Parts: sequence; C-alpha cells; structure tokens
Amino acid sequence: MTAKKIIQLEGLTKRYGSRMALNNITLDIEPGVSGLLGPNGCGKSTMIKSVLGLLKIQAGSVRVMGYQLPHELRKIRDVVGYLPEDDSFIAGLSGIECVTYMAKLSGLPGAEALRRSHEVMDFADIGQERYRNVETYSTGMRQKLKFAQAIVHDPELLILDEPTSGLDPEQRTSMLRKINNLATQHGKSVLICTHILHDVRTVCEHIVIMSKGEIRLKDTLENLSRPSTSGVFVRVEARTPATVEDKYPDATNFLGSLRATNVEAELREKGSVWVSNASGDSTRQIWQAASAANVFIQQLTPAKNSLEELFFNTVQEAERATA
Amino acid sequence: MPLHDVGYRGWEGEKSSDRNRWWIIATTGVQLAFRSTWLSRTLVLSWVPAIIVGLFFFFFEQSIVNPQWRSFMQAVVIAAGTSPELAQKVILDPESARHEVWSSLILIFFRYPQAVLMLLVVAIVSTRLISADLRNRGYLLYFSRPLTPSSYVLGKAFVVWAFMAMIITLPALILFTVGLALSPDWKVIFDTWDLPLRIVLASAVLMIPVSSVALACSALTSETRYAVFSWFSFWVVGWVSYWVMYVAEMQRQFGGGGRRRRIRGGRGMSEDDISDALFYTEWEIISPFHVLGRVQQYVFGLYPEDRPIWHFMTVLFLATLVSFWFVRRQVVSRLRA
Repeated sequence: MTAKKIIQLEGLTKRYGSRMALNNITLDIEPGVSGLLGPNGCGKSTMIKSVLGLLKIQAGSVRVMGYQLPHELRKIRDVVGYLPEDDSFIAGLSGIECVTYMAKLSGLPGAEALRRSHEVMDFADIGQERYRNVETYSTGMRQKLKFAQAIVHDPELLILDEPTSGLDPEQRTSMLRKINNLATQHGKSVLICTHILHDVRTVCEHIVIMSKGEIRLKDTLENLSRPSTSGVFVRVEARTPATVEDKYPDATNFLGSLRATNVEAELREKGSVWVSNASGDSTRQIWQAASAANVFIQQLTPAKNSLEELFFNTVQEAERATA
Repeated sequence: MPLHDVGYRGWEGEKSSDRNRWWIIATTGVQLAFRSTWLSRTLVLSWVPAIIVGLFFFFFEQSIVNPQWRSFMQAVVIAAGTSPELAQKVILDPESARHEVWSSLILIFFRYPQAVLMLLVVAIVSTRLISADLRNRGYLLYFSRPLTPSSYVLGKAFVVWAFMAMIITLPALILFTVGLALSPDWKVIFDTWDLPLRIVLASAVLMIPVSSVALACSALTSETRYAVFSWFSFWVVGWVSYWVMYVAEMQRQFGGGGRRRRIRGGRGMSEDDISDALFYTEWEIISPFHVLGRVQQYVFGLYPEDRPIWHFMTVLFLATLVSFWFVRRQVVSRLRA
C-alpha cells in the first residue's frame, strides 16, 4: 500500500512575464518531514505560494492533503499552517492578540482561540513578551511568533519557509527540536523550505532539491547519505612524537605498508590516507599496516555522501545544463 | 517559562463557519482603532454638533405652541438655505412644515459638521487599515487562512462603516429621538415616522462610497502618510475644482460682482431660474462633497423633483465600484508579486 501523499504536483508551471519560475514540476511529497532545498531564486517560495493558492498558476494541477486546487482552496488553508519567510505581522497588536486573531481567522471560537494561543505561545517559547506590541519584537521573537500563528489551528501540514532564519544557535536548535516533536509525537507533516543544509540534515526524512524552477533530485535523506563508494578515510598519529608538530606524521610509510598488502590507497592531507574499495578484510589490513608503520589509527571513517556536496553538484549540474 | 508547560497539544474543537471571517477582521479593526487617543477625542468632539442641532429641534417644536418663537426659527431656516416657501410656512403653519424642517436640520447635520468630522475620523481610522498590512506583509498571514480577498476588504470596510455610523447615524438617530421627546405634540410621531429610515439610507449613501474611497487611498501605498495625503487631496481637489468652475460659470452667466449683483445681472431670467442657476450647477459632479450632498438631499426628500438625480447616483455607484475593485486588485497583486 502506498502512503497518502501530502502534496501532489503535476505539470505545475508558473511564469512571471517571460521568466519561468516553475517549469512543469511534477512532484509527490510523502508524509513526514521533507526539506525543500535550493539556491535563492530557484522557485521554492513560488512553489509554496502556489501550493497555498496564493499565486495563480499557468498550468498543472495541485493537490494538498487530498484537496484539489483551486476548488478546495479553503479546505487546503484549513489544514495547512504557513510560516512565511518574509517578516509578517499585524501592526498594533500584541503577540498574544496577533496569534489569537489568526486563530479566530482559522475558525477557532473566541475564548478557545485565546486559550489555544497561550498554549502554542508557551510551546514556541514566547514568555511575557507575548503582551508586548509585535512591532517591538526582535527578529528572533517575530520568527517564533510566526511559528506560533502557523500551528495555532493545529494544522495537519506545516509549510515552514526558512523557519530558523534570524534565530540564534540555541533558539535554532530549539526550533528544530519543536519541528521534530510535531512530526514524531503529533503526526504532523512538515515541508521545510530552506537553504540551510544543517537544518535539513537534523530534521528531514525526505529531500527535494530545486534549481532553476525544476526539481533536480528527490529522495530520502537515508538514501542520499548512503556512500556512493565504499572507501574509508584513515587518519594516523605518530606513536612517540618529538614535538606537537610531529603528531601527524607523513603517512608515506603507512601508505607503503597498505599497498604492500594490495589495498588501494592514496595520500590525502598530512597524516591522512583514503582507502578505496574497502571491504571487511581491508579493516584488518589497515590495522596491520598501521602496526607495521609504527603509527596509531586516530580516525577511521567510512565514506559518506555529504549533503553539501550533493547539493552543490546538483545545482551546478543544473546550471551547466541550462547554460 | 509557562507556569504549567503542557507542550504541544492537538485541537479538536469545531471550527466556526468561513462566512463570518470578515466579522473577525471588522471587530479586531474597530478594537485596534479605538487605541488611538486622537480618535477618542475626535469621537467625543463629533457629538457636540448633535447637541446644537438638538436645540434647534427644541426651538422649532416650541414655535408650534409659542408663536413668538417662529421668527427665530424662520431666521434659522433661511440661514440654512432652504426654500423661501418653507420659511413662509414656518411663520404661518409650522406644523405643516414639520417634516421638511426636521429633514433640513438633519441634512444640515449630515452635510456640514459631521462631513468635516468624518474627514478627520476616516483619515485616522482607514488610512492605515490596508497600508499597514501591505507594509508589514500582514496579507501573507491573512491569506494563508481560509479567507478570500473579498472577505478581507469587507471586514476592513466595516471598520470604516462602524466609525462613520458612530459619528453620523447614531447621533442623527438620537437627535431624532430627542426631537420626539422634546416635542409638546404627540402627532410628531406620525409626521416624522419615516425620518429614521431616511437617516439610515442617507448614512448608507455616505458610508459605502466614502469607505471605498478611503480604503482605495489606504491600498494605494504601504506608507500611511501618503494614504492620508491622498485621502485629503481627494476631497480638497474636488471641492476647489468645483468652486473654480462655479465662479467661472457665474462670471459667464451673470458677470462679475457679489451674489446680489449676480442675481440682478441675470438678464431675462425669472427668480426661480436665477435660484436654480445659483444652487444647482452642472459642475457639482466634479466635487465628491457636492455629489454626496445632492444624493442625501434626495434621500431626505428635499431635492427638487424636476431636477435629474441619476447622474449623481451614477457617479457614486461608479466611484464605489472602481474603488472596491482597486482595493481588491492591490491586495491580490501583492500576493502574486
């Protein structure tokens, strides 16, 4: 049985004048936390706004949580919570009034809207500042406020456009923890639109990479993190260094010992060796070679696909293809 | 930290209907506007004219039973610019003139003190209604919820209507009630029963086009001060243009000089024609203040039956339509930018 798709796009096309913002995008997003990655101006926000029915699309179909745009737009907005990238607030209101107002606009009855707003503001770590006018809020506070208003009506799907922008490292970790909590403990689906790869690696299960208005890559984080080669990175340390500078020796002896046992290896930076096509036997041979070369093994790391590398390669490929 | 942190909890209550979302925008807008101390002061000030006009109601009703008061009321009626026949009736048979005098007094209340106060109140209330949302991108929060641009505009318009009703409709209705209470004659109820309806209708004639123009000024820019400037410019430019054209027209018809000399200068014209030429010029159509005045005059039954009113009504209708279309367009275009 296939999982219910939270967002289904088919042939989605959006042009701004002669500029193609979204080029015939076909994409299915599964429940869970998905990261929408892409460089600035690649069409991420346009895609999100199209999904929310804020933009009029030229072609294609959009289905969100099973509801079809544009006929079921209201139902879509009922089940979606949106945190916009832009600094957005209602001038003149205090934080609590702003969230309560948004709760009422989402259909929560008066007293319940106020109670619920306090609850989500507690969750969003907004303390007594909630009684202050939103115009006096710092960027980080406004980000938390936008988060609170996005979850106040308990939506099934959260669309968060740059949720950690403007937050300090501690708040950023806290925000990611909250997103993770919503997904894992409360069954919310989340689409995070960002270009901060660390955030994606921390919370996302699925990754979508966009560039030049097209989807370039879509897979699970697990698959994307799986190494494309079976290499091992080895860092060695001298057994008895005379000085601190001698701690990481020239690994030529170690490399020679490895090659003597028919292991494919090459020198990297000082004290480091890359072992290609490593298998189970290679580990034993690496330890033996280290003993023969009279060095310690300080680090032995299996090859891993770096999300950064993958992202840059995908984007560069897209740019080359367009050029 | 909260006293009792419950973490995140789901919400499973019943949501209210989509149809009342405009009402939430309206009530929040009214609450927000009330935070302006200048608005509160202007609202208090706006009730002062009602007291003065209320005194005239009292004087008129007293003149029915006390003939010595009639000459004073006649002077008031003449100063108000009503017809000479009405001034005559006030002396001879004030009871038969009651409906017309009451209507004229309420129309004056609408047209002069309240119109000026309306300019101030609407400037305070309406100019930031949409411009602030455009500046702070509040529209992204509004329209990520089940809300249509039309509901948004309706909610914002209602805020303007509410304050206009507070300074125009409500005092006028209270004025009417005070008039009834101060009258020594119970037949006043039968003579003036239709006036509350006319007050409500005249208020609608004023409120709907004025709110649409006010919101259009607010949606014109994200800078509230420019919205304020465009709001006052709209009235001042119309009013000044009218007077320039009026004076030019009078020069053309009657030659130079004051009003009396102009009347004497009307060669071969009857008194009625001269009066018509002085009070009803085709240039009124370029002044929103005069257009509104003529339609309100019609609503109170004081507009001459032989003169056309449709062109004033058409102007109001078109201005309302174009303004609301413009507001909606501005909001939607921001979303699509």
